[in-house]
Amino acid sequence: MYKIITGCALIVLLFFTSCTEEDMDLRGTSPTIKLSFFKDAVSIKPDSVSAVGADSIHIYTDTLRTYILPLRSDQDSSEFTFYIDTLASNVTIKYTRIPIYDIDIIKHNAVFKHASANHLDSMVVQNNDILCSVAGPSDMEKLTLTCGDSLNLTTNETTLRLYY
Amino acid sequence: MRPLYGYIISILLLLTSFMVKAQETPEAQNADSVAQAARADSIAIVNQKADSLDQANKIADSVAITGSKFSVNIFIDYGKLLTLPFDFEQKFEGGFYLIFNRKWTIGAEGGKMNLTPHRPYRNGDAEVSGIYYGGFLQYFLNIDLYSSLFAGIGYNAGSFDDYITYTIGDDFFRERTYEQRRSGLKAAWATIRLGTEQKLNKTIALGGVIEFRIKTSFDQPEGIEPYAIPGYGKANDRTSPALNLYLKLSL
Repeated sequence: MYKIITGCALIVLLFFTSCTEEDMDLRGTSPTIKLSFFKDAVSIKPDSVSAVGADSIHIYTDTLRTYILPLRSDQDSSEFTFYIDTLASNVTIKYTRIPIYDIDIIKHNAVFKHASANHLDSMVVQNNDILCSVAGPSDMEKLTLTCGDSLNLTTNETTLRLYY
Repeated sequence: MRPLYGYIISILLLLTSFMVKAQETPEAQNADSVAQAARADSIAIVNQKADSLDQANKIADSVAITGSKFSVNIFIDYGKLLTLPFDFEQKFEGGFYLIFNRKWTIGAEGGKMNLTPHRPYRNGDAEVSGIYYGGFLQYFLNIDLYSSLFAGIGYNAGSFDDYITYTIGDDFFRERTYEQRRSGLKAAWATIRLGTEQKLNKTIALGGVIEFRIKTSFDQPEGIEPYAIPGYGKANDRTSPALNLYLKLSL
């Protein structure tokens, strides 16, 4: 009996010894959208991007052509302004937020509902299985793209391409 | 704080085993000495009178704590009682069981928990509170007059509330805090139980049981999965092992 209880105690001791503190990181992960920009079928990068309602404007100095931008986690809509060759293009993304628990952090995923933007020739949203597109003459009027309800934006498998 | 708490439990468990040993020694020695005396006498007597051996065995048996064939027992999980002084975890569990023919037991147990685990998420906190209850069937294998091993199965169910808060932020927007509160969540699980029990005297016994819990049903609510199910363990685990320590009183 004594040996059995002592053995159990040692197992419990080893179990708790293996628990360790984790690094502290209070920042969660916002839903995101993956964007790419094209002009005359050539990939381009915006000079800067700002999110409506946010405090900061991000100026890109790298050579990236694809951007993963955070969407607003407190509402189902985000609006960005991209500056491309002095042209200001407003892009509005509407989505459904889904809170999820991923390993040890709580995140908001986003499922695409529709996107609209001005100054565009066409717009395409695509992942491995689904492709939706809309084209048409536009100037200041916004071009709107709607595509089902199964495009998960946050997995980075879905890209919204904007053609100017 | 959690590892420290684990150490405290482990140390208490070790101390318990010493206490059991210490409690066992005087009575056991007494029983052993009587039995040895009885046996010694018996060996001497057996050459002369065979019926004297039976008498010696009766003397030894009279010291033993055998209990009756049917008994009613209540138990309390003293391991969980140790959590009551702490803010982050408060647990209470107890129950009763009936013993038939000193081997078969059927019983019921219940508990109440309020859990506020230390940093359950990297970016959030959780609070879970609820009750659980269930029944079990066990078979006892008596090793000697004081010790026994047992194995059994059980089934438990519980209902609970949870409250989760978390923060999300990014380069564009400052961190914001979100919350999620649900109530009346339900879950059920089966248990496989292996344990040991040590009698301290005719009335009191200490025991430990290792439970292997298998989640059988859970009403998954919308949103983030609850952090824990009171009485079961982590909500996202399909199986959950546990060690319970109890103090039993035979009525």
